[in-house]
Amino acid sequence: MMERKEKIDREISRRDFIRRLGYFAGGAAVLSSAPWLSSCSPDKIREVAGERARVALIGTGSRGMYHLHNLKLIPHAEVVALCDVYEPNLKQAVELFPAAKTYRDYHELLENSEIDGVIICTPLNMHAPITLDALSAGKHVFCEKAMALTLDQCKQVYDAYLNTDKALYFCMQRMYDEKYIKGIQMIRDGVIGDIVGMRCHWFRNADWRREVPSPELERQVNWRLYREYSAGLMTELACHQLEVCNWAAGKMPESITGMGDIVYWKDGREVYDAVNVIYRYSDGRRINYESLISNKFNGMEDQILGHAGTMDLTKGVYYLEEDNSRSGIETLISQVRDKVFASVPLAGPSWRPEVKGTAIPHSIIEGRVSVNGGQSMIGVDNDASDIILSAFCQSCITGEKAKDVVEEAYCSTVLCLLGNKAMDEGRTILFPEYYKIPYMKF
Amino acid sequence: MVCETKYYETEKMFHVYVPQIMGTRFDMLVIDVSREKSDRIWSGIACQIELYDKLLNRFDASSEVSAVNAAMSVGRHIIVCEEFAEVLRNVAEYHAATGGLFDITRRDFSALHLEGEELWCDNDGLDLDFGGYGKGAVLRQIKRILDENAVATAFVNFGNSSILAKGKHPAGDCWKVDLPSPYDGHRVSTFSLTDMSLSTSGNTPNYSSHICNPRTGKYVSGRLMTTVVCPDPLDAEVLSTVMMLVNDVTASVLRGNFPDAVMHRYVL
Repeated sequence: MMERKEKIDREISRRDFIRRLGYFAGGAAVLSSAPWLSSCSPDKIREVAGERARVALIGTGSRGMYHLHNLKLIPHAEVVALCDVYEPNLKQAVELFPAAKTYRDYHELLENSEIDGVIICTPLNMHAPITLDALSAGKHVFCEKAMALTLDQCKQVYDAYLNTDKALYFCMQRMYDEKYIKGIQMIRDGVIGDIVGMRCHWFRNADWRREVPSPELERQVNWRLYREYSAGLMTELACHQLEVCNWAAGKMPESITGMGDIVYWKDGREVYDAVNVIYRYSDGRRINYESLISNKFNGMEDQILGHAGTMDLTKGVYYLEEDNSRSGIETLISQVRDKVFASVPLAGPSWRPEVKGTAIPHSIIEGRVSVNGGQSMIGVDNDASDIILSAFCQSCITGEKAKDVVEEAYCSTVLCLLGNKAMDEGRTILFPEYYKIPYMKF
Repeated sequence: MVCETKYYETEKMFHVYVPQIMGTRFDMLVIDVSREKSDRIWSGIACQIELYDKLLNRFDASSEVSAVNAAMSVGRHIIVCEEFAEVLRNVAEYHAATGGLFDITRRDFSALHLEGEELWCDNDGLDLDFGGYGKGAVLRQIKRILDENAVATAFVNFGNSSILAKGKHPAGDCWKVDLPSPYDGHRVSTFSLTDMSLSTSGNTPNYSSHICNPRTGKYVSGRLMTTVVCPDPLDAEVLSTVMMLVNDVTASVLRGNFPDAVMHRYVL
């Protein structure tokens, strides 16, 4: 009974999310900045009422389990099959869905005609092979980010998508996160003025390692550390953030330079633990990207810098260059916390929200905002992973593709991989012609 | 009412932010109070804010003042709620104490009549506006609740124009607040507040000529700003508006009627 109530609550919450974004009939405003939401409009949600997508999950590790817990709360999802090569992981998933069929070989799973769609949560090196096989087998596909381990694999997946009528999603959850969608809308509305640059970083203090039950499993369990399986910080972390930059800028950078090193975790790993990459657009604007996993002080931030303000999408707030309307109270809080006594500039004639230009609230959305501090390796509640997964299950029922999701995933993954290439080769590289797609504007 | 709350364990500091209420926003810091008690206090305060918003917010079509304004015409008798009647009686006292300068009708308060909860007017086109009253009334209730709960240290900012400072900054001997000019940002004055309220009125570049002189029917223009510091937040609220309308004579009368209030007028 509790679970059913929770399912209903979650569904109501999802509808509220879409309603809050102003997506009523037509929904021009929200669709202009997030066209992929057209496949999960309120009308479409009503369309799937009472129906259930039969889905299978491949890769029942920590991220897979995270999705499985979300699937339990999605009323239009039924988990019918589970697959993993690692028995302990498969076992924990079966405990959650005891009626699901189990597989060790995903090829066999894809032969099951009762499955509408597959959810891929494997190490990165398997994303493209399984995605391509699943599309060939006529399944709808939801794959964890990033799209693929190599540039050529990305191109293969993109080309396959052009030639299939199946829905393909990549778990770029920021695209379904209310504060990001509203924030991008506000950027398009000119709230922070012209975009003059972007600054993203992701700092953690953790070695990224998991406990290994026996030494021969080191590379499989700690796959993120080895280049055979992983492209490191760029595909694991930067991928989300670069997508946001492209989304905000509406174009792609044309040149890339960077430096990557193993600064602290010298434990046999092959991927960088410190990266700095600069992506330069044709007009000179830049994305400054930095990630370091031996210091967490700066946390995670996705900042879009405008000449009139800064949109801090991670925190769901923005700052205006000439607006001190609320900074007084924030200054006061900082003072109290730092035991500093000084005056705060907050007295004045009444602040009025209707007075444009001098009085814009700092919160992107009203109410409590879920902020991901970026420290979890698995995922956090309310980061919109459940919303994009729900949208996928809906597509499994309606057969409708989500507009631009694949294109956005392709663009950000390719930028991640080009970032690695620039760091590996120690030079500035230009965006290769071969990997350009019509969606990209330079 | 949408709000964000946060509790800082180390400092035992509770912060609540209401982005949109009574046409502005609201922040409150309560210090040296447990999380549970802060939540309880906030819950009582939130009820008061919502009550006054429901009574006095002209921008809410379902509020009591909107209903009264829509219904009021010469000779028509309206029954208002008990709380609204209480507010009207209080407003009448301020009207008298300010020599008629504080006037929620902005034209002719004497045309408004109240007996018990029955309200009528004998002048057409009267429109009640509690703009120079509502936030102060809420702050007075907040002060009462904080006192009843023995909260010694708190800072409440209602839209920048109405501030209640209880006790002192944890690292200082008062709460120190700057008053910047809305025109060029330069610091006009600094106030050191301890168990005091500060209210500011004035014109701004984007919101000028919004305070009406009931004696002349004209709106006050120019780069004028007023502040009032006094123990009672409602006195401060009313007086800061009235100070926009005074001349030397009426200012002197006000000082006599409100001896606890320190009043300033700035020409910017």
